[in-house]
Amino acid sequence: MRLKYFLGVSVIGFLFVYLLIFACRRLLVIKEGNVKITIKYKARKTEDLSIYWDDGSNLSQDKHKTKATDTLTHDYVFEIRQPKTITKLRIDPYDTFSSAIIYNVTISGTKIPYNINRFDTFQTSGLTIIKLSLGYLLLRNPTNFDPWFIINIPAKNAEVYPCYSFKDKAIIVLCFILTFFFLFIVVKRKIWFHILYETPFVTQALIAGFIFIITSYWTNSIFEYYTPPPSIENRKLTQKPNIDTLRYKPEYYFDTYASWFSDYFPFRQKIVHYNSVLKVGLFDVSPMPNELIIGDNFEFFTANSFVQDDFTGKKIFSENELNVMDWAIETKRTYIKAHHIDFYLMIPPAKQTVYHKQMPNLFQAQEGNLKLWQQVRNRLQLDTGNFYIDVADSLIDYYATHPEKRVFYQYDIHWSEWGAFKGYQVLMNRIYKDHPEYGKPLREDEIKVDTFYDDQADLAKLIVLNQKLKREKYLITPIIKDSITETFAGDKRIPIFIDHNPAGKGTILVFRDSYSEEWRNLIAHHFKESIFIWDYHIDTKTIEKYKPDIVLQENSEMLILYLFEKLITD
Amino acid sequence: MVFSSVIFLFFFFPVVLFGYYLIKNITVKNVLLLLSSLLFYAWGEGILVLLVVLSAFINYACGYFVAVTNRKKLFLTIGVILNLSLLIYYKYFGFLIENLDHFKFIHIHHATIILPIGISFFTFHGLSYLIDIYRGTSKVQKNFFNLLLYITFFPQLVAGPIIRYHDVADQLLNRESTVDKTAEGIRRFIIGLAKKILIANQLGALADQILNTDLNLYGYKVAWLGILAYALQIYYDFSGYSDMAIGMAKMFGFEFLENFNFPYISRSIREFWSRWHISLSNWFRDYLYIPLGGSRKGEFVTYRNLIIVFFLTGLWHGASWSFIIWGFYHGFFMVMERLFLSKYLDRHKIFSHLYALTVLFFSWVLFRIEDFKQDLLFFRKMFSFFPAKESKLHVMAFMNSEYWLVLAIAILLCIPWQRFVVIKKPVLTGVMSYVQLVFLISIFLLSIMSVITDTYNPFIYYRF
Repeated sequence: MRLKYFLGVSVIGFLFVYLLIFACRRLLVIKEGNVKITIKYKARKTEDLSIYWDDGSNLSQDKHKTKATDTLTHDYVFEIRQPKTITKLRIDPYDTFSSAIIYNVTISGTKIPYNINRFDTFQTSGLTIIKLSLGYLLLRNPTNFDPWFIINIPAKNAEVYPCYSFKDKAIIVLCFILTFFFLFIVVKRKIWFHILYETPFVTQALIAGFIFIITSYWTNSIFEYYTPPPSIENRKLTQKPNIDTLRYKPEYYFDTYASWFSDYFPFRQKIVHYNSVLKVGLFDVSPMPNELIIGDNFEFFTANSFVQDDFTGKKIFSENELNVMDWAIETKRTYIKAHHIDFYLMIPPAKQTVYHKQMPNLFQAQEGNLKLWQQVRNRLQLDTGNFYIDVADSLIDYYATHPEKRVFYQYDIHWSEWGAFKGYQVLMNRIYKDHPEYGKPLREDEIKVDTFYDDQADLAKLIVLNQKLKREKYLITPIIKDSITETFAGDKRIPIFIDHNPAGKGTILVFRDSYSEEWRNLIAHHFKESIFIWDYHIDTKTIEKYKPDIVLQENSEMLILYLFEKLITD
Repeated sequence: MVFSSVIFLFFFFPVVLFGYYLIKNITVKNVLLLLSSLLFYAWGEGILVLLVVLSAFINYACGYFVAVTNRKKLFLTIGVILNLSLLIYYKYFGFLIENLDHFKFIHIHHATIILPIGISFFTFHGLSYLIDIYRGTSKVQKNFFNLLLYITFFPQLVAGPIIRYHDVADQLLNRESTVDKTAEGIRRFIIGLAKKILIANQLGALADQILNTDLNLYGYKVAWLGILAYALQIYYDFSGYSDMAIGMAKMFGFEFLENFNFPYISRSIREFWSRWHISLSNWFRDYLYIPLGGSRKGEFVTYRNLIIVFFLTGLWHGASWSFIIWGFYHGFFMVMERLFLSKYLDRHKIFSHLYALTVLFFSWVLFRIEDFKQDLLFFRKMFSFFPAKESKLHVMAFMNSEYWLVLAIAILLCIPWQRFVVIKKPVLTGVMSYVQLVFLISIFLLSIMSVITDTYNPFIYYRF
């Protein structure tokens, strides 16, 4: 009994000593303030400079946008109020500036102040950055009106001193009150110790465990013992609702608040990760059956409705739909042809089309049912001849004869660089038939293949297992090196990459999706100018602007319904 | 708001629970519970929370007049009519009009009426209060807010159990929270949550997968598997919810009666209804079956009463013909058992179990598949032992190692093993209590992992 009493006193004593230390610690750092970013910058005239920073959420959130407090000097000073971390800094010069020099960037207020006069790693859009002895020269690409560059802050410099708002101060006061409350109970009432005397340990542990779990959100808000990693959910998380009684019904607040609470629940990603480890590791089953299918040989497939409906033959195009699509494509083709441009359409297959044997039985297609892409292919080949390039059958045949070569990544929806290489061969063989001047595609003995691993497999990312299930990537480059330069000419909405190859001929304009990421350098090998527009909309203005010799529409099978919608609503 | 959501588990519930324990005065505790219950309902239903308050007020006013005037029957009748009017309008009006329209009696255009969640439960709570006052089994509740708390108390507001007023009347003002009671409440809550999340949701996914697949693609084994999964899903889902409600009520010092008692070990449909949704059975027995005469007025009246009760039980579950047929189906077997079946069932233990399970499985087909034609096709599939052509999807196409494990656990837990296994040695009892502790915390964590994973909605790309 004495031991129990002793233990009880110790636990509660420890609790309020901890609270005291916590409160004092907070008081000590309360004066540590905001992060100050100073950019020593010189342009031809005084101009606005905007910065964004990444505090673990989305880099480009407008709420982070701020403007220099003093634009009259060359030192642009930005104060960021109490961020948790700064891992990236995006600097946006004024949209129409022509050139500027950036001397250095100083960040103070982080635990280790950071003076950047050499950008270790950075990304840019619409800017050419030239290293000078005194800093960096920034040149805006004339066609780009949204130039920016991002500096990645090293992890050791990214952490910011904890700094506190009114809410935090209120918590400190609460800590003191709670401490005195505990003291009062211990000295005056002793009621809690009766519980310790009379209740079995198992009961106490159950209550304590339960309370610890259900209050984890609150305790973490106070003690910040766990900092959530940046979200990899790849969507805009719900924002906390603002009260506007005139605009919204109460249900709106409740729904949005619940959604916000779930989205920002601190342990969420970690818990999803452990859940995935358990389900995948123990049962080999998908932790998110509505998002991901795990097939034979641990092959991952997407489980979106397309897979469910198209692959099992539930969704088919009607004759009318095919007629409309045929008509829409023919209209585009006629227009393009009138400008003496050749048009090709390629629909790279979805993974389940090539790796169909690995799909679970439940999702196997019914015999005799045509899939959407097959319907489209049959119709287009039947009607308008040979602008449709059939890559699906080539890949299916290739995989059947070379199962050891991965034409699709194991944990990703995309074709691998190897699959893209095979697709590229089909494409260029087809173009070569009509235009021998662009040359034959590279053969396997004309390329160099390097292998490496990354943690960007999209289907593994869905279930937060991308750190464990890495993607095996091939880096395919021509043995005879090209001197290709690439510029980024688009924006966040429609990224445009333009590759210049002095050794190539003609211009190709590609309306593409993510599948083209894997073959850009291979196509650029043949053309003087290759323009890759990440859009499905065959825009006549764009065609007139770039005046290509060839237009290629590359649209993966998975997005065939989207292509259909785009075509008929153009 | 549902119990198995992140916002409830980590925001709403801990705040209410801690607030409750910090307050000493029972009246203030009740105010906290009432406000949180109204917020709980408004969170999902918005302005319809006013309907619950209105319903409570009707019962409060009618109850008052029943208690203080001589025209008890009149005010009881008014109260019952008003309660049922609300229920009929919100739950059955659309169904009624559709049928009148279908059979060409009348054609009325009407807007879709939103069904307030839990209306069947809070209406029955209100009726229970009125009838108890009328019968004198309980005293009239003079404080409107206490009555409102009885009707809206959030653990039982949207999915029961249906608590008769006389069972909790005293607890509204006199109840005690003890450490043991709280621990027991936590135990029940965790078990309920695990039943719902770890068993019912898994089996629900399996049942949905099978029952939403084209019937022509699979054979009789898959059909039986589908309905087995559904039978277990509905049991674990509902009993899990009841366990959570009972557990939370215990944490707040209330004692609710049990709502489930291993229904699938029943040997007759009669026994099944004494083990399944006990609070609903008790309600119908106390407030309908017995007032109709029960079994005291001869055989014919008894059978009539049973058919009425089960017709209304079916209708209570939902406004559709399939629920009505389901109710009649149960009523039919209740009558058959009284007529002659029970004699045979009492003699043959194994046969009686098989009989009860078969009847129940068929009833779940009626319950799950709302289209009667589809019901008949499904029944046919269940008995297509020699199909004309080989089915494309076999049992293994639907099952995986996790489903097998969950199915096995679900079947095993339908049996009350603790009645057969009694540990007498104190050392072992001590060890078992530690095992139980680890088990409870583990299943709680597993349930939470599943709840949180359900809120995770990743996209592969923005740019599709």
